[in-house]
Amino acid sequence: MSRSVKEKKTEIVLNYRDVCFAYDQREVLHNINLQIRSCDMVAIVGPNGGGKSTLLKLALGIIRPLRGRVELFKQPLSKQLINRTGYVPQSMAYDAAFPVNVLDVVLMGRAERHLWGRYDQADRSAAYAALEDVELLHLAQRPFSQLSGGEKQRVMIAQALSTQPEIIFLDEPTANVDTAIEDKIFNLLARLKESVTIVLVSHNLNVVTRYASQIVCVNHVLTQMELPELTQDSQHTRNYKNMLVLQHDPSCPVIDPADMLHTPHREALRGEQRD
Amino acid sequence: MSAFFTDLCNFTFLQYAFIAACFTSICCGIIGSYTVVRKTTYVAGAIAHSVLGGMGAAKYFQVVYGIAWLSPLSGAVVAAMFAALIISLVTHYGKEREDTVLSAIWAIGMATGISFITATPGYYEDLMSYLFGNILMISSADIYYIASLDLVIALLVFMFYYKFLLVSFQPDTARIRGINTAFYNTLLNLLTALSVVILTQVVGLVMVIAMLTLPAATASRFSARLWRIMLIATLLCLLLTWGGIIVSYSLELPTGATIIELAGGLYLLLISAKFLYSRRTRVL
Repeated sequence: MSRSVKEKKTEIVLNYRDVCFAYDQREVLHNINLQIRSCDMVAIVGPNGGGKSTLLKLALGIIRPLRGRVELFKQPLSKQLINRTGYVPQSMAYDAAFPVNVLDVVLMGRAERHLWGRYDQADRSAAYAALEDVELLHLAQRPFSQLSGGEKQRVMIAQALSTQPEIIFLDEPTANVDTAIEDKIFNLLARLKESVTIVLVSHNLNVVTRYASQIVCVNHVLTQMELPELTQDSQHTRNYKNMLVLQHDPSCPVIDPADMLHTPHREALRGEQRD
Repeated sequence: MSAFFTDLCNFTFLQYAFIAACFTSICCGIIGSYTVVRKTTYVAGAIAHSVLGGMGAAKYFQVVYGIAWLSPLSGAVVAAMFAALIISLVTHYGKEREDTVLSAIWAIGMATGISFITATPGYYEDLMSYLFGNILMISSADIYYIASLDLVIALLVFMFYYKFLLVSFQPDTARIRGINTAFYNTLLNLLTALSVVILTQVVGLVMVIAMLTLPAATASRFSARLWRIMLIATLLCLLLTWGGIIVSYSLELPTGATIIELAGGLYLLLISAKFLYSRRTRVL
């Protein structure tokens, strides 16, 4: 955190270069080029099955691109980079009644640092610091099952923060919480944005437009497009800087993803080898 | 009751049973807690029934071919480990439905066991002790065997407690964070297999599932942290086994069944008490 925010701003943290991905024969992502810069809050939106989770999985290294490459911190994805990333799962991805307390859950973010044995003092102080960041320090010893949905999700964010990451990926962070808690979580993320890059997948375009500094709309293809300057009277527009949204708007041409899928793979045109 | 305690002082088989109860309780409490929180009762059940195949085969080769060192207990260990490995492989790499594979292992284990036992001359009565266990028949050699298996379980759980916790709680996150979930799940299944073998000596393979779930499920009502549940479940298991031995010996009932009845009774009592209490305090 020694470098200034301004200096970090210019760095590309996550870079998708001509990425294509297909499950079996069905192509989900086609010629994706996307750069995510440090200390941005990037929201990936789009229809179901449009490939937004796939985009996240590619960055996390769960799946490998069919063509093109994904670079994290200017390096190809590798196990060594895991310690520099954080991941917040969907709220239904765990057993809410599991017998652990809040501190246990937060400490799990550091489990891969030890081959065996117990957590050390550094782990515990990182966990307490992360809990402080999400304002849940007072619940450290509380059973996880007794928390509300919003608190559980904040504990999961603390778990991701306990790894002291430079970039955090969130998969539908507010899928099962009400609007008040959703706002609270997004406020928290907007605060974290000062020091960490945030990439999140969301269904809810409404809340995302209010907080995210960049919105990426993905429906098999991703097209970079400058939107006309939005009017000041809309309170939802203050954070717009760079927006990649495809909306059905009379001034914008509608792009049919089915047509776009037939465009040749850029890499193939350039004659590059796939790795 | 007092007659029981005079017998306890006089008969070594009763003393052995009490000592064996201490060791079986340790694995019952630790692995039982994992079985409950990971919801892998059916994995334990399939392993338990595959044990019959191993025991039957070992006994057959021991009697028919005179291989003295091939005891049913070692046959049980081999069969249980083998079943655990297959289940782990299928869960992680197979495309087959896990449920189907568990049922197949369950039934094939039973079938081969019964075939081998029937083919073994004059050992038909062993079948009953395999199926329903008999802690009163435990020898000092068995106790050493059980204690060493216990040591392996306790040591590995102590070493990998936090890894097991993460892999059980958030398997997907663990995988994303680069943790080898297949390895830790296989290890847990293997430890479950060892526990199943140990508990088969006490309650028999049919009722192993009860021993792995009831004490831990009861304990989970008293604490919300896994290691505490393990401690409480171990203690409960010890009391239930001792209680079962005393009651069954005094009333001339089968020991394994009595232990399970006590465990089941305690669990049902607790959840009904909880249910009645929550009804009383409910507003509507």
